Amino acid sequence: MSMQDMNQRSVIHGDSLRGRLFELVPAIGLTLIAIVLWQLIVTWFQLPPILLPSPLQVFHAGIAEASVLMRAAWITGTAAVCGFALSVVVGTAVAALMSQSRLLRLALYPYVILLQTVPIVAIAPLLIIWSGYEFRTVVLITLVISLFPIINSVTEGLMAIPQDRIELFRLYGASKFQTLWRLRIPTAIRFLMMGCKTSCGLAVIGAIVAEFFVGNGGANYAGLGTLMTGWQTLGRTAPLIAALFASTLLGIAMFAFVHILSSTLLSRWMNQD
Amino acid sequence: MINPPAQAKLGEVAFVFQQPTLLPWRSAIDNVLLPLQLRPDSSCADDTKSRAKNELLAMELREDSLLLYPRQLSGGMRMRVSLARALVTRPSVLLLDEPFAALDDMLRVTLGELLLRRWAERPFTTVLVTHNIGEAAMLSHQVLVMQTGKVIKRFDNPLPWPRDEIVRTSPEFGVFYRAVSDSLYGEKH
Repeated sequence: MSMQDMNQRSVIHGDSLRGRLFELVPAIGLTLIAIVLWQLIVTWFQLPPILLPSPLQVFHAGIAEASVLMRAAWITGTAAVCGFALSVVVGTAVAALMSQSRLLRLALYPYVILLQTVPIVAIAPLLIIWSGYEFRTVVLITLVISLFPIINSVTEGLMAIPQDRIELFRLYGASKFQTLWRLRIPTAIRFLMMGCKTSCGLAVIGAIVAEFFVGNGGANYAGLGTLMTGWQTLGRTAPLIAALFASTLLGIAMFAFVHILSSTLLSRWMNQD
Repeated sequence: MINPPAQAKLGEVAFVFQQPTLLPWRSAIDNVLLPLQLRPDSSCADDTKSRAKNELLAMELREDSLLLYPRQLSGGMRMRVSLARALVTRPSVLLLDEPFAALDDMLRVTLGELLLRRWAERPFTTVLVTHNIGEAAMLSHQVLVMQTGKVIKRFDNPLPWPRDEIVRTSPEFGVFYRAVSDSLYGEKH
């Protein structure tokens, strides 16, 4: 895409800050409508707060429990980030191994698929038995749940190198390691970033699901997931929903971070095959 | 350009593809550095860097373009980088697979002249595959006309050196062009 094309694009889609803010208006409008509807439903049907509290009650609960929620979000966030980071390291390593030999690929790939098909909720209790009601167990479960997209996309990236570039490296007598380091990995970074975008959302889900289980053990651990199960048993629906919003924000924060990181890293690749 | 005769060892052959085949995450100069970095005996970094730079400047890439990425370069500039990358290894054999096919006629002539200039400074054997008769006539010592994978005619190029504007506009050029063209299309054209 030439500069001219890009200028054209920015005119049509409004890349200016004002244009971008304007694009947010419909989405924000929808949220406002949803909140108003929610309030109306609660009022009209006179729903008990234990079933569905009003938006205002949720807001108040959020304020009242703000410090608890923030601490919990911090813990869950830390677990999610650790698990996610581990999945990037482990996933990339596994993918690098698989890209280097057909034998390894044939041996490992079925298990990678298995990792995807086994419902993680089924493994979680087992991991708790092995690793205990601990922070590290949450990280471990997060790792397992967010690993697959990384392995999959990085392997794809490492394998899908344009043939002429491979020939170029062969022509210059590049070793297997040089081809990996100077050709396959730089090509795969784009794919890694795509995997990361899927994975970071899964990491937050993984951390919260893990906390459901860890919380059941009455451990000295207070992430968003443990708070939620606790408030559920106590019938405190309003803070439960507030915690739900907190975990959504956590997911959005992670996604935004990965998105910014990837567009910074990938600025060189833009508009290039 | 069959002079000196080919005596290539592994790694002394360079290849220019039809497409520039640059790595998009490397700047122009880093793309030229690549073959030097892939060598087991890669010498000191300053030396290789200045070699890559000189090679790009010899291809008449402007100094302020050296750090640009492929997507920021025009098609002609990308091909200059690609040629510089091939020549930076100082190959004894240079294989060119229609490197100028995607370029306009003026660029084609300019890059051909640059290639001749580099060759005059440090001769290497070149095999150039092309569909352009004028290009073949201007750049070669010998022209092999191929049809359906077989060599059907072989010409020793009679045009004098150096091959400059005067040669390209001379009657001899026209005569040789016609001879090659006839062998390719038959004489009725």
